[in-house]
Amino acid sequence: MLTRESALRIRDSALVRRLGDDAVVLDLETGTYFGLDPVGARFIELLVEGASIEQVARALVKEFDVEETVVAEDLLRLARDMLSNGLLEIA
Amino acid sequence: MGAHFYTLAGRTIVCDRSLPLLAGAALGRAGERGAITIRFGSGSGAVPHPPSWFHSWLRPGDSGETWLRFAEVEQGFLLDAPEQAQFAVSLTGDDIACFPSPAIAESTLHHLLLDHVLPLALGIMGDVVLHASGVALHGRSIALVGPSGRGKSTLAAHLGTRGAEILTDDCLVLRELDGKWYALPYYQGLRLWPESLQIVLPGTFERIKVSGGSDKECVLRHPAITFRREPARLGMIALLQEERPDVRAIALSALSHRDALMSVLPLMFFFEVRTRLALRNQFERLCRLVEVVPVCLFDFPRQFEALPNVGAAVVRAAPTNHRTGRALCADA
Repeated sequence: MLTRESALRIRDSALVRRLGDDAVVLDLETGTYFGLDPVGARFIELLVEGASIEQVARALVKEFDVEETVVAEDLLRLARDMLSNGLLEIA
Repeated sequence: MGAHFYTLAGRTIVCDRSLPLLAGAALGRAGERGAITIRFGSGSGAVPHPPSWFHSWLRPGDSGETWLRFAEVEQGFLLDAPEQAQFAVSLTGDDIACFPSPAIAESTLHHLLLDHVLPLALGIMGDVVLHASGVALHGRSIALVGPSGRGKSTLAAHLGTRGAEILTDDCLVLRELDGKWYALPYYQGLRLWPESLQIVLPGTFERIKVSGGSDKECVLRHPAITFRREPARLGMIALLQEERPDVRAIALSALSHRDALMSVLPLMFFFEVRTRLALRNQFERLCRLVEVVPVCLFDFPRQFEALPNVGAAVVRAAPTNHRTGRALCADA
């Protein structure tokens, strides 16, 4: 089950490409793609470094003008979406 | 039967049948690197039988009928237009075998080959191929991108009557060279609905029917239209927005790289999604394209009487050597 404490990783078949401050994630198996705004792009970068959703949320509060509880909920929603599209998996 | 040589999008096409729409192209040369060979076969025995189809396109409208479906076969891909023709495309995209049904109209066969199969083959070969019209103004090209029915060809034809050179009507081939992107000329023809023809290109001129099931006609020559034979550096990509009755104003707005990529990706001719390396390479090419070339959303009223103003907005936004398209997109 996905929680704030969950650590996630990008699936081997997914490719992350930075485009300025944004990013796009492409699944090379299915052709599914996902656009990410600067917060989402940073989320993915921090996930790659092994951070949990909660740790990412804390880090993003320092980098962006966002509230921790709000950003944590947004990240959970994004993570669920990306999990269901096969772009992420629970570590 | 002798071979016919053509040039299409900068590549030599070698075909064992005459392809009249390519007749105006410069003569290609045999044995050139990057050439595409097209062979016509007969009899269904030679056509590979795929276990399943991984993708299909439906006919426009509500019929739900399959227009073209795709399968992987041992040596590449099979494209099937049910009851019309089948096309076996090699893994490298440079060899196409055509198997037309006896009943298919020649115009429909050529339409399938030139407007669907060849663009996909060019995508396999590494070109970025967009569902777009292309025009050149002051030596720089503009891509008018959008799905069918967005008014690409009508706008391109109008711009043609105002001095722009036509690169293509529906299939824009883009190639990267030293970090710059170039639009290559496709075949010489502008496909328009009768009403557009009557208003935008009145008079008598050489034209043919597009395919058996369509009222569209393909303009091959017109005194007001110049078809460009040379590549032109790509200056701007304009994404034609969906027609909406409430749109009264003409608006061009710049897109971020991310939104540009997300918008252009579905309008690319590319079906080799099952080969990871090919998909990765094509995705990376498209990323580089939207990083270099400005992409704008283009919203405009679709009434014919608005065309002069719509065309003028494109001309104003067109980048020249002294101005960048991105700056103009933001201001338009």
